[in-house]
Amino acid sequence: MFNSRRIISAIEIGTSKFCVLVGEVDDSGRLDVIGRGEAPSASSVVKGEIVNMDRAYEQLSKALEEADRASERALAMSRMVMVLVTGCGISSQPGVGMVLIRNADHVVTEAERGEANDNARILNLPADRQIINTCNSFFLIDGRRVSNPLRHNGSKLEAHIHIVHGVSARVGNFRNLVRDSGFENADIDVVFSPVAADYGVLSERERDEGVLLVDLGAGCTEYVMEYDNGMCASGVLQVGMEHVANDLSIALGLSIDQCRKLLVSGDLTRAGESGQSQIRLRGVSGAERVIPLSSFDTVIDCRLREIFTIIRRQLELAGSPCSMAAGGVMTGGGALLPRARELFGEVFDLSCQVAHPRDAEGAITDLASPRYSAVWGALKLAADYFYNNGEAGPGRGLVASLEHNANAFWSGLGKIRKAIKF
Amino acid sequence: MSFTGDISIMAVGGAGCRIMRILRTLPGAESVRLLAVDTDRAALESSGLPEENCLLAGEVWRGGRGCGGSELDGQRAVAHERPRLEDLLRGTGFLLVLCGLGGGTASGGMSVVSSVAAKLKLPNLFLVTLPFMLEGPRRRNLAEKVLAESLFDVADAVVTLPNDLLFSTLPGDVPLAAAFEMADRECAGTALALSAVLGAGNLLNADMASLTALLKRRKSMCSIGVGIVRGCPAEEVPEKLVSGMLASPLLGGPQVLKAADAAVISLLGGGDLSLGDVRNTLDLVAKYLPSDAEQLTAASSHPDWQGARQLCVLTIKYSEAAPDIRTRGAGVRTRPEPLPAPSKPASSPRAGEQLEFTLDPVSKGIMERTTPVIWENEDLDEPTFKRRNIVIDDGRRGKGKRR
Repeated sequence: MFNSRRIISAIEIGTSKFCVLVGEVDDSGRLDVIGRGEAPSASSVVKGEIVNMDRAYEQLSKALEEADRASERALAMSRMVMVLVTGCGISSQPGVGMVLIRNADHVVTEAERGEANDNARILNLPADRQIINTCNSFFLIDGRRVSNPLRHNGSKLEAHIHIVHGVSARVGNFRNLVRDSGFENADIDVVFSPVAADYGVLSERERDEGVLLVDLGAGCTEYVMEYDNGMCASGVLQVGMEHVANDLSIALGLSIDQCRKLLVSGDLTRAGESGQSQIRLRGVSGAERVIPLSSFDTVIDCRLREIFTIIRRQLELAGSPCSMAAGGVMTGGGALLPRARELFGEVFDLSCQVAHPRDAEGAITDLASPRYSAVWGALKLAADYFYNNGEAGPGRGLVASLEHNANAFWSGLGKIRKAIKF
Repeated sequence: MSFTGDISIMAVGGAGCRIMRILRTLPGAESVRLLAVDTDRAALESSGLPEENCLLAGEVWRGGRGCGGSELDGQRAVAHERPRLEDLLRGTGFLLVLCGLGGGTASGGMSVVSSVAAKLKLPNLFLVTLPFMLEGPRRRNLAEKVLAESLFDVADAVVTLPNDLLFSTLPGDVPLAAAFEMADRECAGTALALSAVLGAGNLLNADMASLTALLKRRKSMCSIGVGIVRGCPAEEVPEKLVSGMLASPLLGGPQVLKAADAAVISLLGGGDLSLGDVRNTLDLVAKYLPSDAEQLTAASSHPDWQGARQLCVLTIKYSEAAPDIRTRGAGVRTRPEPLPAPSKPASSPRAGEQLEFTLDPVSKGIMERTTPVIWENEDLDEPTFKRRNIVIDDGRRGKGKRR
């Protein structure tokens, strides 16, 4: 083939920033980040969804150009683009698919597993909704729960999967924007942002023991819950750090940019640690004021506590099992706020650690901030699929490649333990 | 109707149960429904209430062993009992909650109790004691926090009694047990007296609205004096009542009366309570109050108090530092109005519709022109602190926060 480099990219169209990562997969399946581009979203995205297509296009072009330059013009060779989506009326539900094991020795093979998974994806969704991702939760063989059914003996296999679906038109916006930005010939796949973050930051052990991952972003807060290597709940609340900044600006009469900076810069934390009880600031009215730090704390606490409480409530409504031995993991820009981690611990009654992108390697090494968790996860996801599914030719969507190479795909599961479909 | 079948007094937590133990034995208590909620089985049993009036919170989880001063555990335990709490309070016309803040069950449970009361639309009054200074700043801060976050905005009226007043009047050699007993007795008497204040249909009565109006105006500290007189010649009754009231350990002495901004005076007696008794007593009390203090007076009679009188004076001293809520527009510390239905948010009028100037607009800042996020009938784009009616100090001193 004329182009033999395995280049893939991941794009985040976020409320605070647009981020593009370009990666290359080598022959052994190792992923190197070879370029990164970033641009502010300039209010073209609100609460995780695009509100101004033209401006979003401009900003995305800037980010793409930067990534292209950084990767020495490799971006255009991307054969697969993974786009993060959030908001979009996304909700999730469980699905069950059943298959009888008819082969001579009644052993589950990839074929049966694939079929059970496909059956589970059959879902009566309203016409305006589409499935975004599906992830395995667990399997039952003759009613016995297993996390991996391969080579088990039995007569009936049930696949329980977690299905994430959203409003097609709203998801389509993300897809269109990316296609129009110069990816007419690449496979564009969307992935629900926390699913990608999960893939990018969690370890096998954490997923196995049970973990709650909360991605506190600028526009939205997303969560996934994993137990026994299967996803049991996920969702998005379109409230994020922008709301915190907005609350501060209304409560204290400061400008919104001032509040955003205060939250990002860590000035508040430093002032608190150095024993100050007040902070001197110039408000919108121009007059300098002395604002007690406790006022900031109260406003921030109120909002974050509410966010976490709602998520907790949503998890309860989803009836999720609450054994999370690995505790809680926070990621996203909000995780940099120490108070957020404390409140997380208080509300969920879990330990809380901040997750950074795992195994981020390559020329671009400053991916360590939790702000890049989701986009890094998306890149990794794209890389693993791409590697495991052989050379998916241009024009063949990932779904098609999955269907045609079902066996190749499932056999690649040693690498991709998580069966995430698009 | 005397004061009355449908008033409930509910004790929450250990201190509440201790007060309840005394309250149960006072005359007039049987006409009020007495309830108790705690996480500690022993404390609950010591209150001596019949089992159907007791609620052991978080029994499965805490095992009836209390929650060891942890307000999170308290909150969780009481929150578990929300449905049972609602059942317990169903049919109640007025709720008076007794508790001591600073511990676990009461501090944590207050938010639940107050929200249940709000949900059932029960008129309510919270009589809470604040911990002694010597118990350490943690408890004190916790109590202040609970007051600010869970009570002031949700409850109709809150009467806060600092335990420290006990020390200001009692001599140092009084045994500790006796001091506590005395404080509990005062609280119990106060609870009954307040329910009497609100029991309608008597000689003079003060209704809930007027009491709420007094207590809601500003952050305040209250003190209470109760004087009880039994079987003594009628002409001596007023003096004895007033001197008993002045000696009350939770009043803090006559100087507190002298400094009060407002006072609620209630006189409770049997069928033999005469107009002259009331007038004489009230006149006498009034001498101790500053002339410009607002007074709310009430007199009630109940057959159980035949031949006995109880005078209860609740003084209210508004805090100097807190701004007067009256000057800042109405409705700051009242219960939040239900939010507009999600389908028709106030901030997005249809095209062509004239914008209505409302007195209390809730600014959504940069979220003004975005699709609202609605969760359980609340518009999450509005700042949380506003929906919770929390007043934030923005450093513009003296002016308060302009709305």
